[in-house]
Amino acid sequence: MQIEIARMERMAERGSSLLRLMQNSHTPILDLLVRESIQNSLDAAIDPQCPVRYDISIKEFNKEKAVRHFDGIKDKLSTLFYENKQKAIVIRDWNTTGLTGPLHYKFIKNNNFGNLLKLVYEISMPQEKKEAGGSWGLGKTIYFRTGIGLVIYYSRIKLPDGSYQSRLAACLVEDETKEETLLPNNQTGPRRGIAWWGQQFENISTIPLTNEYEINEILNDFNVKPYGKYETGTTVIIPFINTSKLLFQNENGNLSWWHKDIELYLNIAIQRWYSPRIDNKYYQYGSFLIPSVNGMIIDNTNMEPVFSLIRALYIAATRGIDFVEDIYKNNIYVKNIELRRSLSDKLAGRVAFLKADKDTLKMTVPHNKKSPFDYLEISHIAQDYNPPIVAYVRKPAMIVNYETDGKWTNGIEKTDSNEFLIALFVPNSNNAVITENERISLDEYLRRGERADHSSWNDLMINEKKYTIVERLQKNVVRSINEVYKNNNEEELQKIKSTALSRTLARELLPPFGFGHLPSPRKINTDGNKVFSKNRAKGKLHILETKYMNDGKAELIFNIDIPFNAEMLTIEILVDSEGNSKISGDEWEKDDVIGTPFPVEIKSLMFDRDYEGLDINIVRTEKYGVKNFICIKVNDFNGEIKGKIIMQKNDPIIFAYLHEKLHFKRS
Amino acid sequence: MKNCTLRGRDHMSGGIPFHNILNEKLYNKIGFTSQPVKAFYINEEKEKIEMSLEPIEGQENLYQIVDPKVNWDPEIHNLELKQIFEIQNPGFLFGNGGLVDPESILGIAVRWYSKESQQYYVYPVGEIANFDNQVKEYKIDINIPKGTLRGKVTFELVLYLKYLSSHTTNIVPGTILGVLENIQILFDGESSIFPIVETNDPSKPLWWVVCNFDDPLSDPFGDENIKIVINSGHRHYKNIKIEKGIGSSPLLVEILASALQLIIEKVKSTGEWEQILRNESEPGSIGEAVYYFINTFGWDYSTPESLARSIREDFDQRFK
Repeated sequence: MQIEIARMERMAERGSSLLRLMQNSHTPILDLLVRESIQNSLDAAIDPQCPVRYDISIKEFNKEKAVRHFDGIKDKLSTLFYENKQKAIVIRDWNTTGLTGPLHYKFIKNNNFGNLLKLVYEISMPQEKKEAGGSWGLGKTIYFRTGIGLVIYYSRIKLPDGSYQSRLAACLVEDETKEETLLPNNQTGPRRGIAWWGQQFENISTIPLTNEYEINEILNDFNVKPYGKYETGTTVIIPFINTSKLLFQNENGNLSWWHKDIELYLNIAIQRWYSPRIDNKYYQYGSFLIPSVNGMIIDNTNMEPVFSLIRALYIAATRGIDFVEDIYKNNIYVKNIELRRSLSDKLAGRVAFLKADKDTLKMTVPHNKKSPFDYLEISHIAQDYNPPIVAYVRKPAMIVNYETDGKWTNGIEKTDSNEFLIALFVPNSNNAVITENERISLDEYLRRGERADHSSWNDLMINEKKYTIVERLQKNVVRSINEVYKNNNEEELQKIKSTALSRTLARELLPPFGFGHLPSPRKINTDGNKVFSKNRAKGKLHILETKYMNDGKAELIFNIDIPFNAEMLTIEILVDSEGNSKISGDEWEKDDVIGTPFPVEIKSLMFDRDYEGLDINIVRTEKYGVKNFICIKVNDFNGEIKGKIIMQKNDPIIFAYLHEKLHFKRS
Repeated sequence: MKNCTLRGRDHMSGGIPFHNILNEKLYNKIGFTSQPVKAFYINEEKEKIEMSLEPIEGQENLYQIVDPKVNWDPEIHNLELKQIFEIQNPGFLFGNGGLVDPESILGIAVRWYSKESQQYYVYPVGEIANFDNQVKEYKIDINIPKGTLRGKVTFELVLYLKYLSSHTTNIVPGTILGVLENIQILFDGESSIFPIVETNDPSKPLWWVVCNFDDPLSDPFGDENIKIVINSGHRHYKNIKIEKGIGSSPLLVEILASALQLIIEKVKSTGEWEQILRNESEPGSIGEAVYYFINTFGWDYSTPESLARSIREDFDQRFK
């Protein structure tokens, strides 16, 4: 293949700076590689109904056959690697779109770079897809750090016209400041340490090979099979790896079995970060994942117990406990995590958790599995207790991190050494964060707060306003877990309240109302309930004086302030019936109710003066003709009227009421 | 105690009394005067403790009962209420212009009711007949059992028809003819509560603070989120003894000052402090309580040492 050495340009990255980018020193390279490559594959899924197939393999290749394809560095490579048998990591996916988009910058339309240019020829180019797994476009630098900096990209795509195309290109990123570089350093000027291989394009540039024959020849030399006629996908070949260097060594040298073989390590790493999405038909945001290592598929039947359990927690949090296998079902708790503000729906997510004993985790004879801390590569030396483990994910269902100390776990009690508390927080991703002028989903908020290596969540400043969503999620998760497991001490304590002291202190230190009660405070009405109220509301009938006249008649002096826009005032006599309801005259006189004449009658109605415009009528009951209803047409009058009603009661036991009603004009 | 039924409704609500009722004119004529209500309870040492009724600020005719020893709890102790009142000219209640004819007899009763506790009780106090036309003095002494008083309770001194003469046909005995006096007492329910609780555990310290809140801007200032715990099992608990208000226990005042400082420092560190200072917290939240403390009492939160000092300066005045 033709070499194209990156020219020096302003503000351009150099190999050395690229290799320094994303130096996540606390996560091993193979873990980063697994996280990044699976994420790229999942983001490229074609059909959400169809699982994404992902394979990572170690393949041997013949050095002499392979190096001949790389113009410009053949001889250096050949001398640098003495052994003819060399190894490569080959990462391959299916049911994915492959590296689509223009073959060269010259063909870019509407600033649409496409997958190919972004992955092979660009750096720091973030995903356009919102809530995608990655965000910073820096993750792919891990490909260069895995081997010697040389990466071959092979892809088969479906073109817009329906035909298929294969593409193959290579890229080298090396530290240009080293003495011994692969790229020729006969130039005197500055070097960038970056080169590409492909077919020549317009004299000074290259584009990927598209000739099937040439591509197959290269693939064959790397011991990689081409895609089938109707298959699409991407294969990344990272040649010249040093497997023993890649296998991460932990400090105390006490290595678990998977540290002895790179394929075993990759198998565990895939489970460690993607267990929620592996073989999970319930996954709701797209394709689920069927991963394999050297063709050996990982599914729920062969996952390590701790990862199968984390997968169960994810299913419990997203679909419900009923969807979980019976072995875990009974011990799992799922709690809603709610935030009272900042989100459009208060449900911020769910935390699913359990306390698993050694049997559940198959740590006992005959399985003798390792402890969760080993599988999760968390150093835990104490013998007599286990710290809680809290993991969290976003939409892509990649574990962002496992935490055993810090804000996700502060305050959760440690378990004894025979038990492991494992929790998984899953956000309600489609919930919206309330901001002043932009609409972002909760998942997007959390994604923006992830560092480039996606290893933790942090709160954001949006429009110069500091948000505390993550902080509150963390506290809420801790509290939800504690509510289930905390010992009864705390509850007993609540029982002895010091009412007198708390009231006295409230009186001294708090406003009279509104603190210490749920739900939020009610306003107490302040009518004062004085024995003789002088309160005069507009439109209300007020009895100013009552006088009883020994013959069963009562005289009521009333006033009412008729508001503007009123049309009619009615005053009706009602009497008490059973069960606190009041019944009207016509109701009373019905045969199936009481059936006798209504016992209270209006004898007369007088006003203190002549009110112009008032049209007064006294209406009788239908059956017995008892006057019980006053109807006053207001006719544009407004202001106070005062009058006197004389009423007669013919039954000492009943209790009568006046019921007034104002009718307004429709405006 | 008798839970008898009196007929009658609040006259203000539109009921038509087909009898005379106590109106302002008649009320002024009969010369009703009363002394303040006194409240007592028996404490654990069998002492009878007198408490005071204090008006609640901003609320007309609404009181709360204050125990100088800060111990009385309506769920634990009975409440004894005493009051002396007199009617100088009871004769005006009878005959022409009065409530009933001269041969009927009126009763006086205390009734109390509250919507929150769905309780309605009546305690007969005495009776008035026409031939008693001289100054009548009455003593109220009622004992309300623990566990019955909740929320806002209305106490009324009422006049009702006790015995009916043959001349009267329009009313039945038991009908309430007027209210001489009423007050409302708030027992719990709506008034604020400060999150302080007691525990009894000799193995634990004398006091501590529990902060369980996630979000000071919205989490309520209640003991589910934040609380000061006082341990009555501790050997120094006896030194907290309150004789006459909070100020009579310097140790308690010191505990409160330290605890509140701790709470404010904790809230300050949550990242919501700016919003709290702008009073953007939800009503009843921890943030609102803290905002109230520092603004109403002028506590100087600028540094931990100025906060510690200013709380104590304020407390020296507040809890004398």
